[in-house]
Amino acid sequence: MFYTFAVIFLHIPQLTPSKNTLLVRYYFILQYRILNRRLTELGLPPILGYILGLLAFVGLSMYLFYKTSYAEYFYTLLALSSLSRLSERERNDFLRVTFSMGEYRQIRMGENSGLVLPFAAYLLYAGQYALAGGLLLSALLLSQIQFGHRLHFTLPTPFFRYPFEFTQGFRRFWWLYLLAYFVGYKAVEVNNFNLGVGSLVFVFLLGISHYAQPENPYFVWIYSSTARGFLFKKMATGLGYSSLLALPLVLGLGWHFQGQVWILLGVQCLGYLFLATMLLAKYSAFPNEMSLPQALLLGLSFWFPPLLLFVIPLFYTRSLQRLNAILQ
Amino acid sequence: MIEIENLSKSFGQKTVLKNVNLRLEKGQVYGIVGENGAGKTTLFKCIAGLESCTGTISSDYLILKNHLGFLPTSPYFLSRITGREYLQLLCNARKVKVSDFQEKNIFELPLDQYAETYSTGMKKKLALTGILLQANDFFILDEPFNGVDIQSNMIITAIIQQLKILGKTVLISSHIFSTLNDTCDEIQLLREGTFVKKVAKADFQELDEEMKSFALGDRIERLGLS
Repeated sequence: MFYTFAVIFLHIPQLTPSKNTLLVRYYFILQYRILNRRLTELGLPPILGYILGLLAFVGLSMYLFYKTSYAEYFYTLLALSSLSRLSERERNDFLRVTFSMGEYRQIRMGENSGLVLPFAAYLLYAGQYALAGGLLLSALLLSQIQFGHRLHFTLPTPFFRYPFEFTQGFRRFWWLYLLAYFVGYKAVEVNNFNLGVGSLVFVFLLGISHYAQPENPYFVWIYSSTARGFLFKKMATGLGYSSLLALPLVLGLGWHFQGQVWILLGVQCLGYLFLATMLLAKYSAFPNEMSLPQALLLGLSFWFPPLLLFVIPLFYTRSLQRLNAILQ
Repeated sequence: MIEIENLSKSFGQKTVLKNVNLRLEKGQVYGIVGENGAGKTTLFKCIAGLESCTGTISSDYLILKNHLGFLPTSPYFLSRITGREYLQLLCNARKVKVSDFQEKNIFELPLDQYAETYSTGMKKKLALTGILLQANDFFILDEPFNGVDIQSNMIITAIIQQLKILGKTVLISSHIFSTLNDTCDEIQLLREGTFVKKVAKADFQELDEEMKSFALGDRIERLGLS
């Protein structure tokens, strides 16, 4: 979405563009080209990619607001958390040494506001004017902050025995886990079971997100196991660690909503199933990122879980093929 | 023993390796030298199985890579993973149990810091420690001395010599000829994807001279410095 706005920015006519503006504009032109190349690599004509992206964004936003009680807050947090990658130290260091301070600030403000603009637009549409304004303002303020220095502090995790997905993911999103626990606590306080289920689903969604990006093939190559053994080991680790993270919620909610324990356990089982599917989906495209058809299939099966009966064997077979090429 | 026969590799129209043949015996240290772009790293990746290629690679092992420790020129690291967790991951992958990483931390690395914050040399030392802890039989070390301080250079040289005593096979590339002189039993010269010369220890000095002469040629004169 951010790039859709970048495209608009590129086409804003300027009668006497300064040298600064030209450099900043060139930076966004490069980003636009990179995105077009990525879409082409996915097998999509760029224009179709933009249209599908827009439709998916609007569709998912509508779905979230329709299904969730506190959607506006969750939506704002989601928009803000999406900015964190743009604030990473290395890319900011690169931008600082490549551009002047003025250009750097323009780029960062442009990136951040461009990224949250679609979210702000939807919040306006949903009548959340204060949140929309706050989001834009926060994005502009955050564009001046780098999150790199936290790397000097090592956040301890309980996942040291079997690094890396949950170790990495927990360190990146620890504050979202805290938020999920807080929502779970509020669910007990206000006696709202659905809110509690939402917090549990959120913990599993976070766990699933740790498998979104393929690692360097070296970290698969190092394993002296069969493709099947590798997948089962990864799955056992993922299920074990997601159980650990879900445990406080399951225990707390289970104790308070004793009559609905079976629903909680059902949600947890579905969470395990989704996590395993995500893991298989990742390795079914490995070492590449998931293709658009694969991502669509994954999304559809999350939306309509009976599809998992067909999707899991498909991803599993493809994962074995992909991993055998590296592990054998 | 590992035997590489007629190994070739192309990237599109560009042929990077042409019918490479190499035989690697147990307890021997082999060096590969060549200019940038000669094909050393590609050859190493092909042997490791990280690049597809044509030709055959046969060994005493059913799956060679399960006994192979590969140190890339620029080792790969995962973000927000500490040095200790990196070592744990490498050991888990080979089902090796190490109870005390601190004791094995001979380069005195800050194991509880994120590995991505390490300097170039520290990253190399961490990656080397990792493949040594895996108890491999065969090692491919791509530029192990690059970016490493002089003390660590001496330690790495001593490690390679110890690996040879233990009967392990080591294949190294380096642009620092003296380090190869101290460690290798045989050096192969790779030029434009083909081995053009094989040199035994007694003739290393001659190879060094030849490489210098080939590298310099009349380039400095052509600059016309005044």
